[in-house]
Amino acid sequence: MLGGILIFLGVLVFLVVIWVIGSYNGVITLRNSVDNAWAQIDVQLTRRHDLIPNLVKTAKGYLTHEKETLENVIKARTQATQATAVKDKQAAENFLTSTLRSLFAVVERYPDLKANQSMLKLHEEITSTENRIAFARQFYNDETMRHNTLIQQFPVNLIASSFNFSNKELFEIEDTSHKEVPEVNL
Amino acid sequence: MAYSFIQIEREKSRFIFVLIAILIAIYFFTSWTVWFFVKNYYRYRFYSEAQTGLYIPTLIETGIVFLIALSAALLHFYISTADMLVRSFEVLGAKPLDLNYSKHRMLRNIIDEVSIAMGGVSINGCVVNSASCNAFTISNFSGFAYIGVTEGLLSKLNRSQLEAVIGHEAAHIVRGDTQIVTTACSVFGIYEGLMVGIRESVLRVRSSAALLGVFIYLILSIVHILNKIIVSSISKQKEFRADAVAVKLTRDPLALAQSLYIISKRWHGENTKVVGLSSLFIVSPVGSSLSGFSTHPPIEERIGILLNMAHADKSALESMVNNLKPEIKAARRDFKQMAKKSKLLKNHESWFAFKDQSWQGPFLFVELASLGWLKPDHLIRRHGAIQAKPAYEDSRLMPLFRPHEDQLHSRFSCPYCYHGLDATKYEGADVYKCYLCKGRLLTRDELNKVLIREDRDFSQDIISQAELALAEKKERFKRIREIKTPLVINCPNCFRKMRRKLFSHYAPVEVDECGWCASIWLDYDELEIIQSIYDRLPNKDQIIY
Ligand SMILES: [Zn+2]
Ligand SMILES: [Zn+2]
Repeated sequence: MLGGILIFLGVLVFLVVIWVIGSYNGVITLRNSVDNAWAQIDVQLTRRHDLIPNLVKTAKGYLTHEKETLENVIKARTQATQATAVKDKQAAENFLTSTLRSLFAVVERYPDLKANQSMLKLHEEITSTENRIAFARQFYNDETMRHNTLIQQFPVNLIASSFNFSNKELFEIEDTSHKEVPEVNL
Repeated sequence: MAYSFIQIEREKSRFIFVLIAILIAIYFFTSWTVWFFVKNYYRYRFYSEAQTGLYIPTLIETGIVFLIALSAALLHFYISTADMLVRSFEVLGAKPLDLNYSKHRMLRNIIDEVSIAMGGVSINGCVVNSASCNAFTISNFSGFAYIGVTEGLLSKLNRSQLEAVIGHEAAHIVRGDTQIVTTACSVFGIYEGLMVGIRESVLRVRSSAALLGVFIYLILSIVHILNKIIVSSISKQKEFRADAVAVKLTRDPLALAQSLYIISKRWHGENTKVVGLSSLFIVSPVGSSLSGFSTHPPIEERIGILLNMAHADKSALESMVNNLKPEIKAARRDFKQMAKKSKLLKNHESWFAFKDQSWQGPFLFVELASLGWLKPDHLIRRHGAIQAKPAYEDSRLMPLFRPHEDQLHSRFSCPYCYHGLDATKYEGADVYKCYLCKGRLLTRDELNKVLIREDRDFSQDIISQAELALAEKKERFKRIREIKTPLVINCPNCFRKMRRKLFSHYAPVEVDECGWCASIWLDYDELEIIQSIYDRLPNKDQIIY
């Protein structure tokens, strides 16, 4: 009788341990995915920062009367590269996006610059980078949402709290869709 | 993405087992039947007195036949899938992207974007040099995946539409559809080719051997129908699901609806070579005769679902797609006015150059040449123009910066001026250009590439020359036939005589073509004239390839 109970308890403990390991690994996998997604956003933001000096150099010769727009872009880039805290970073990147948008709006008014080969190339690269940032953010937010839902739900929340898993933060950028980057009509 | 990868893997391997089982069944049935007939035939021929009645193969014989069928099926599977990526590439005529060309760069970028949206799946891109409108995916067992787009589609869609199409294709890759369909197509594709061959030879031979051909043909027809059923059963639902994933990624159902609409209104490339691979495409490139077995759901149904998601209706879609046109027209009008203005300035062209913090000039071309200090990256400004640009971007100033050795070492030299030709790009095609007479050398292939792409505008001058050519069509053909010495210049590529001829039936423009290496020499402006004529042909898609 006692043996039977012991075996029953043993099996129960075994199942619980298996379940704990399984859920733990599940959460860890998701967390890594979230971290990877975050790294991807960073890669793309850096890519954008790297493109801007060339953009400014190309536009400079044509936009002699639009110094202010160019200076804004440079300023925004400097701010974005220097920001370290997540909140600052988000604000700086938002500012950079809006200055870039106004720069491209200005470029629209200069047909020669718009048709310039290196400008066309840069415009495509920057459009693509903005899309990449938007997509990376979208993927990050989706994964974060899945992660957060998982660790809040019973019974995984028991494991989460005992291993100190905490909610991941969503990456908020004032939601201007990536399609709003002006398109160049070729 | 909320895909369970384990689930997909399981589904894939299950499918491969089904495929192998079908192969075994086919080989077993065929070889058993053949063995049955051969055995009975021999008995009838040689032992007709001794034994009567049909001979049924014994269990051991059946077992041996099964083993042979098994190994044949496995061998077939192994051979047909070993290099399926390479072979599909060949059959489809796919080529790697040329990153010097802006549209190809954009395609590469869009594929990368979509791959990020999917959490970093690695996807490669390729193009098909065809004027048709279509897109496809292929992949192999090691997960090496390609998205292919035709040049025609690339020139018809805008960025967001292309993004939606790539999203759809990437969904097929991530969900494993691509691998399944590529495998099925490679495994059964061999049969499709065989069927055509047998059908032709049976019609030609008409002897007793043809009987065997008919038998094999019957079997193959069964396989053919089986293949269609399999592929259509896995394809139809998957098209809807891939559409849904594309929308989830790009959050733009309207763009996908637009591109499907544009594709449906265009030529999909009816190509007999890709019959076996038709289910790889976003829209079937083969007109379906058996509608029940068609590999794709009707495109109207897909568009309808997408429009529902976007809360729009079909008339809105049609007007949106057609509405793009006035914009382009307006842009072209602007361009024409600019071209006119610059023509007026042409006669007394002069430039300002930026040096020592100030503008100097104006200089005439000859003066610029004798300045000595002008470098390619100096800012210059054409007299009368407001914007400045680096000197290397003004094509007319190019001769100033060219070192003479460059011309000597050039691959080709101009047949008229004997100057070295510059390797240049024109709409992404390799063109060798003489900077003095503006003549151009290119191959037929590259020329076709240029003719497919239609994203440029032509000056009034070019258009009137094109109209003149069309008006004089008859006389020109008569004249060219009467030329006494059509061999005027030497081919810059192979030094044989080039033949003076009219470019084509559609574009009666005089060109020189080398019959040996298919190089074409075009004088100043002729390429643009031919291009503008082809742009106006209603069915140029079918003519070029
Ligand atoms: Zn020349
Ligand atoms: Zn030749």
